[in-house]
Amino acid sequence: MKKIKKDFTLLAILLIPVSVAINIVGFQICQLLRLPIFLDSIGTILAGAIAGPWVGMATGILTNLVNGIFNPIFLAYMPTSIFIGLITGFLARNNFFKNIFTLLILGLVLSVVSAVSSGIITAIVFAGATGTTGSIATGVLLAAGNNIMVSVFSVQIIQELADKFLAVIIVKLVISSMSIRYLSKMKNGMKFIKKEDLYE
Amino acid sequence: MSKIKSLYPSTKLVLLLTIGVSPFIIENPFVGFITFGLITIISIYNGIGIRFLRIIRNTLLILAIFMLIMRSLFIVGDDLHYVYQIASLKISIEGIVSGLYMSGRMLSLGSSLILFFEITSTQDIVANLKNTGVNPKVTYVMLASLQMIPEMKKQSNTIMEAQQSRGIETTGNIITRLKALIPSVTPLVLSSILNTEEKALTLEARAFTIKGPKTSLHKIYKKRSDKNIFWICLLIILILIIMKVFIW
Repeated sequence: MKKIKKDFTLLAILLIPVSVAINIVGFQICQLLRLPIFLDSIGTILAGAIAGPWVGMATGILTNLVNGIFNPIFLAYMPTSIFIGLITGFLARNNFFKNIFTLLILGLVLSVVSAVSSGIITAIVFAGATGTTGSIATGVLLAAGNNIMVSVFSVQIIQELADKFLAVIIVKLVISSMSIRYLSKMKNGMKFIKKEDLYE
Repeated sequence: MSKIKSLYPSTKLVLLLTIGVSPFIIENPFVGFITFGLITIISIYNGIGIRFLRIIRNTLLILAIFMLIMRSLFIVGDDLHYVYQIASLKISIEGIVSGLYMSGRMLSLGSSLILFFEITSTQDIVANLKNTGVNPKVTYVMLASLQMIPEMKKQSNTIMEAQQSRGIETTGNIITRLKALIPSVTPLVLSSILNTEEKALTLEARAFTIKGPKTSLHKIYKKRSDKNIFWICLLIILILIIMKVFIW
């Protein structure tokens, strides 16, 4: 427990509200550009990547709480955000952001976990209905005789793949533009600094 | 009823949740809609009826309708009694009942939470948490998250306009719009995160990380009526549970 508490330095605590705001505003930018993705977890992935899994998890929880104030439906999807924050943190610790190949694997893992988790929540809590066009597709699949879990899952995985791949690439770009001075103060930041840049 | 706004935040929450959660205990498919009506009436008495209904329409209503439809058509079971058929889709009575249960409960619980946040200011919630002894770092993070969202929206508008003046296209086919994504998001994320260093200095200057009791400008106190209401709500829930076990 003490080890987890140590993750929450003042800079990490400040990273959380900023990441939560990024999640929310990022979603709105995608709506503005009328893109079929969400980018509502970009802040969670960023926080998990540079400050560790527990800060990432806290960001995820808080994003759902803040979204839940205006629409309680989001509260049900908290486990998905928790998984995204934790997995990004643990895999970033193990250098999954280092090269493009492992980066794509990270994107794949995140999208699968997110789709499965959201799918299970939608199927159990909301009987497969989300009030979006995804539900209509789910309905069609169900009518064709598929099991509810399979139908909900297949619809979400395609959206999640595009969403998480893009998010992970954007996070990598953002981190590579951050100053060494800031990254060195972050728990996981040292992983992103190249040895050559340290000594000038 | 209209005095509800002036109650202590946790009392308001317990009161609204008692109404919102009771359909989960009572075995009747229409109770959810009755409690939803009750909560709507409370919102009207507090003067925010129209705003409340608009929020419900934007968030829960479509979901409730979808849930009802999905459950009526797609419930699985052995002994279903079909009442209607459209093309290859069959509607069963068990499905309709199950749909009523689920959407009624969802409307009830969701609307109670929505009303709670509409009649409780963030200041009050944070003051309540502080009185309960929650770590001030946690309350700060919650408060800061809510405050940073409008700030960041303004910032993102500025950045979008600046990038558009540099030739980034935000309309057109999907590839063009996708190419506009990174120049819109990256400067926003970078500038916000680098601003946190200054915020950290400000907080440190106000002894944020020092251990010890903190004073606050906004204070709220519990009254006797708050404690009474709390125990009455608890009693109601207990009675409902006992009735469920022994009578239904």
